[in-house]
Amino acid sequence: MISCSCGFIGSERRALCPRCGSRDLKEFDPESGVVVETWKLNVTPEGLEESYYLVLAEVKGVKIILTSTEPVQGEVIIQGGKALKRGVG
Amino acid sequence: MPAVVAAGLTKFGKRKEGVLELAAEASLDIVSKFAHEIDLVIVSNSYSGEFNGTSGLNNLVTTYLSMDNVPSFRVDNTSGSGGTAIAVANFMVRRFKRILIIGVEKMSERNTRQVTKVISSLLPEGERAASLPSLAALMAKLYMKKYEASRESIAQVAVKNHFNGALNPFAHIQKRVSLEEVLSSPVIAEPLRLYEYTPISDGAASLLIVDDQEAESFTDKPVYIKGVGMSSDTSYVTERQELTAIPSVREATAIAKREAKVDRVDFAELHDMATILEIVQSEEIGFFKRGEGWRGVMEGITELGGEKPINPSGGLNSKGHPIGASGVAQVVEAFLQIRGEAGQRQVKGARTGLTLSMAGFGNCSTVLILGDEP
Repeated sequence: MISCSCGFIGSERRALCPRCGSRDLKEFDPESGVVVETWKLNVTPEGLEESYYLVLAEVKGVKIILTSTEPVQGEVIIQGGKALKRGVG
Repeated sequence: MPAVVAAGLTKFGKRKEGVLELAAEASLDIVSKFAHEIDLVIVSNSYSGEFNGTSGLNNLVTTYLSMDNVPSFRVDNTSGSGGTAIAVANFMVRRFKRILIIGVEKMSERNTRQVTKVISSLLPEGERAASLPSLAALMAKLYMKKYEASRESIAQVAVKNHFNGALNPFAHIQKRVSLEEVLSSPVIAEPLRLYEYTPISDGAASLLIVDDQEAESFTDKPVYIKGVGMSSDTSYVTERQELTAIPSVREATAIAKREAKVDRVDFAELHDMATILEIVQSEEIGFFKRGEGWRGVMEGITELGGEKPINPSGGLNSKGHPIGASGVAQVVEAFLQIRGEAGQRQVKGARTGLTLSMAGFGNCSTVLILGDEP
């Protein structure tokens, strides 16, 4: 994720802040989020696991997509693009 | 105002022919007749490098068609390539008077997971595990929750489009399916199932576009491109404010209708990569208010004989979706419908039609309004 001193927070990297035009964007790894929706994908892109859950989670008011080996709800820990239940990992 | 004066199409499906042969099959009738009058060739194709190990496809196509000296270029805008190619031709027709557009894609040399990986590469790194089909599934879940839409209404889109596709000799899938069959087919991405997604198809389509001043010297039934609208949205899909809407479709439609001076159309060819997309797009093009598209499906309004027919060709869902060919093939369908040449799937009294060619998940939308008079 990225943040800008103007307060903009985005899900993915950008060269310029879409709000203020600043080039001084900082990348950060989210540590936790709140699950908005979770659903299972059975036909996945080659090179990834054959089946997994997808998680739409909200972090600092921005939605991102994570993966999970199981359905998750509520607040989750985020590690390397994966959503983990609290108390796991 | 440009006009479409000739069109060609291959049967969509798993084809043994290569990408050049498919491009030729769709365009040979036009080239045989008008080769010496064509000033420019635009090839709509997205993945010849990834799927076929081929670059410079436009020059290979023109040479294969023995049009070695005709200028050409390729347009790649993922699933929206075809609409974009026609929009480009629309703007270029004043300089290059007669433009041949060939949309083509050869996908079946790769398996489903390989194709999914290639197409998912249009998403940002953090969303690639999702894939476009799963974003459609997310849209379906959120749409059903927000508007209390029934699960059956979404599946019914596949029933309708397979019915239409069974009437289209060029469609990939030519069999009707029942609601029960749709809802018992394998789950691809919860809650959407196999019959609710487009198959992986090979195919090609072509159009000859000329300025309206000389259109009637090519045919006594030209179909005019009355309006063109293009609009874009962020590629970072989760950053969009609303995941049950596709604002680029709404904006592109408004631009196209304004240019065409048209309020209503007799039919629409939409970009139903997944069933839920047709419902949401039917709202964005103004056929229904937001949240009411699903009711329109259940009431039969979007069926072939309904008040607002959608995807009389069978749509991407049944006709198939060879990526670079799809947007061109939609206009081929509009060409046939408006000329009254669509056979068993003819929309009664069709004089004005709308096509929507969509890149990514609404990352870029091109809407065309076509009609039988300038």
